[in-house]
Amino acid sequence: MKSNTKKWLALLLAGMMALSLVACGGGNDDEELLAVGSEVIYPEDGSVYPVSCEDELTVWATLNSSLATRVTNFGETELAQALEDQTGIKVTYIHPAQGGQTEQFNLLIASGDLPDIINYDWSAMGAESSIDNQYILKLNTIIDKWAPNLGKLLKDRPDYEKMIKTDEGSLYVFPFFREAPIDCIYQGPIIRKDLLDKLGLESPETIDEWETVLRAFKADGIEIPFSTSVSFLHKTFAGAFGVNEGSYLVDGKIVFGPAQDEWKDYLTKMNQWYNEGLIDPNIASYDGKVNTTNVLTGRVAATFGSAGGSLGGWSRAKKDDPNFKLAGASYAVAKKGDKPEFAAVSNPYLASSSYAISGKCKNPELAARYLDYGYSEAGRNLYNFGPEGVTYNMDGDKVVFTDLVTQNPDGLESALITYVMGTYSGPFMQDSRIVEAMQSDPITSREAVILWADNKMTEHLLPPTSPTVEEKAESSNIGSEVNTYVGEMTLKFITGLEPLDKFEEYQKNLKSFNLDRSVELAEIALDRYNKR
Amino acid sequence: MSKQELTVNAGQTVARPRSGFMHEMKKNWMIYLMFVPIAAYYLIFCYKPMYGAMIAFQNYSPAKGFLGSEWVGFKHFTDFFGNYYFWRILKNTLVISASSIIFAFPMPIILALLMNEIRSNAFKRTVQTISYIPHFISMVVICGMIKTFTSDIGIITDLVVALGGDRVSLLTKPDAFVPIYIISDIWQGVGWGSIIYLSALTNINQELYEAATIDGANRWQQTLHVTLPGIAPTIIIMLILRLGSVLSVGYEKIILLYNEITRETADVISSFVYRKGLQEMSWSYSSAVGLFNSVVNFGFIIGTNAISRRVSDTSLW
Repeated sequence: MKSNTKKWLALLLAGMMALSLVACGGGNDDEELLAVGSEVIYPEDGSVYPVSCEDELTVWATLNSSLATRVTNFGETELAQALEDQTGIKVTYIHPAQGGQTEQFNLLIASGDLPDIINYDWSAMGAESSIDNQYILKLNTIIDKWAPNLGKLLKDRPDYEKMIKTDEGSLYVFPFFREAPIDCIYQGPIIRKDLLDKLGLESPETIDEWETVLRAFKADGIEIPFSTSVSFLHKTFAGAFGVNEGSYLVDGKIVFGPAQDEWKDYLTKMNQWYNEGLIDPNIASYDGKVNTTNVLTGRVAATFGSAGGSLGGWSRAKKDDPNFKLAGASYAVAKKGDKPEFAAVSNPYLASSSYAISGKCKNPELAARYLDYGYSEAGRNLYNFGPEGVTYNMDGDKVVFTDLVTQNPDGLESALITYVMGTYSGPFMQDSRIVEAMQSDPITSREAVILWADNKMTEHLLPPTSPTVEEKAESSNIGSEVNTYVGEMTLKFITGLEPLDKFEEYQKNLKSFNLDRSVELAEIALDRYNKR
Repeated sequence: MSKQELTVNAGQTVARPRSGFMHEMKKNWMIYLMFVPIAAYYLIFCYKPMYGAMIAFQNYSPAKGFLGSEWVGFKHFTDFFGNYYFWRILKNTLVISASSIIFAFPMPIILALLMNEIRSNAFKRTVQTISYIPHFISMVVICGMIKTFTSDIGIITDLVVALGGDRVSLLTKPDAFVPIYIISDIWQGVGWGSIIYLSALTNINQELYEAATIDGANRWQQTLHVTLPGIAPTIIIMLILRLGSVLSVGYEKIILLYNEITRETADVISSFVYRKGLQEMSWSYSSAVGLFNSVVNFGFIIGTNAISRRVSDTSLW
């Protein structure tokens, strides 16, 4: 009986295996790339919107974290409603869990069950390979046919077009653009102005002045003079030593900051500050929410943050406290009068907020029409300022916000959060006017931005290159090892867990991870970008 | 019950060798019916996914599928063994696992023995309920609590400071990670883990205690010579099962608690697989690591079982 049972069991198992083989084998044929859904019907008067179509769209997108405290789905917002009214397109939004975006995106891709539109950093993912793998559609024809507004924008702004094209000339996203250079910087060091005044100190500029100020804070009883995440710590102070975190350009050549000799000088200073208690002893387990509490309760006197959310938000929260005044402070420089070499400046094209049409899209025409709306005059105003008459009115060229916005005690960003995407990002071009409005309450925010914007970062900023599939595979293998190692070692050097005389060994290890090869690969991609 | 029935059945089928599978089915169909959902569970959730384990030998891309992806043989395995962090994550996994076996494994047994000595039933039940509670709290919440308690102004840090330590968030100290992990593990699991031993305790023949008392044994001696031998088979089975997962330290708690500076002691195989597979999209590489992990675990369980069978007569098979 025993052997008989075994046979049956084996047969059963073999059957199961065969079944699963069949189940997984299919569905891989080279199907018609451009699926055609139900017909998209346009209004009879010759305009484009609102369209009518039987199909509905699904959009997979990250829900802005501030918005997430108000609604659970983007579809609940006034903006989504207005978009549906104005475009005539019904959309279902799907959001990954807050903070779990990368993981859930990877699972989405692995599952093969893609929604119509996906918001992700497709440049980092590798645009050409994503098109090859049919995760997303190549948009050149689609934009020509069904996205005239974006098409026009790209024609008017060749500098923008260059950023969102691959070397092969493929277009692949409906991008988020910022309008003006000053919109590309909105973060920087923030300091307690009232404490500076009390101690009779000027706002610090050079690294030595920063040291003096932080020491004075410490002596004055501030528990943690400066606190921020590791990355922002680098952004604030490393520039004074002539380095920056990550890769950047120096005279047109790519440099990996943490492998440079100057990085050691920077780490030495940070290690000294750490030992003196000038920077956060908990930097390794830094938590933004804790930091906010610490700033508001006066445990922290200087930090790093955005003009609107951090500086503006904190100032409003403490506006009745005469002994609490925040102001922007300069990124640290080496010598008095220098301009900061590095700053938290982003490219005008923000890849992570851009939207692609997926390879499984049922109706690319409808998806293109939906996404293209953001680049039309009406759509751009809606995304940036909200529904006209509700949140704002036009006074000639000036945007005048209604009382709904201006009378809100939590400030403009909070008042507009369910009405616009202009205060953060999405498939449209951000208007300079919304950025300025966001940074004008209190006016110290705007002053901070103007101060931060005075830097030389544009010379160092890497453009959005498009590595080939092979380059991408090789460099991301190297990159993941290098970044893990640099992240760990940098923290260990700062906190003193690893003595700084190990720095040469650290550099040697970086070499053994083939760092040079990855820099070389980045240069090859950069050359192609520059030749476009 | 099942053991007895099986031997009876085996005897019958030997007597009538031609009846075979169909006869067996006819006779015990109800038992097999009860077994079906469990078999289905294992086939669907444990055996079918094994088919996907072959991506460990490929450069898997979802677009090309299981059969279309390029075969690379053992490349990912050799890459992993040559990885800069290979020895570190192996060491960390073994350290955390071994500490958990040495310190956390005996705790439920001790708790069960202690509870066994409680005479007041109301008190016993209260203690049991309170000790279960952490088991039912979600891991994310537990880790949030741990983070708060061990932050620079947390209650546990206060305790450390009172004992002469520095006021620094404990989770930024590589040396403190394993103790935090193990102690919180004990707190989370001790009550729940003691249930199986408590039930084993109720199976001990009360007459043995009476006999021991007559022989003049005190309570400690009774515990040592009656209670412990009585639950020894349960302990051994639990230990074998535990050793079978010696290389699988769950990633959930690790990734919720670690940070770049504590990775030195906290990064384990599963958290490495998580980072590679879900964050960096190296599906094949992380499958290879996971497969290696499973094979080692399999070896451990076979080994422990064989040793246990030889030295103590108690074994899984």
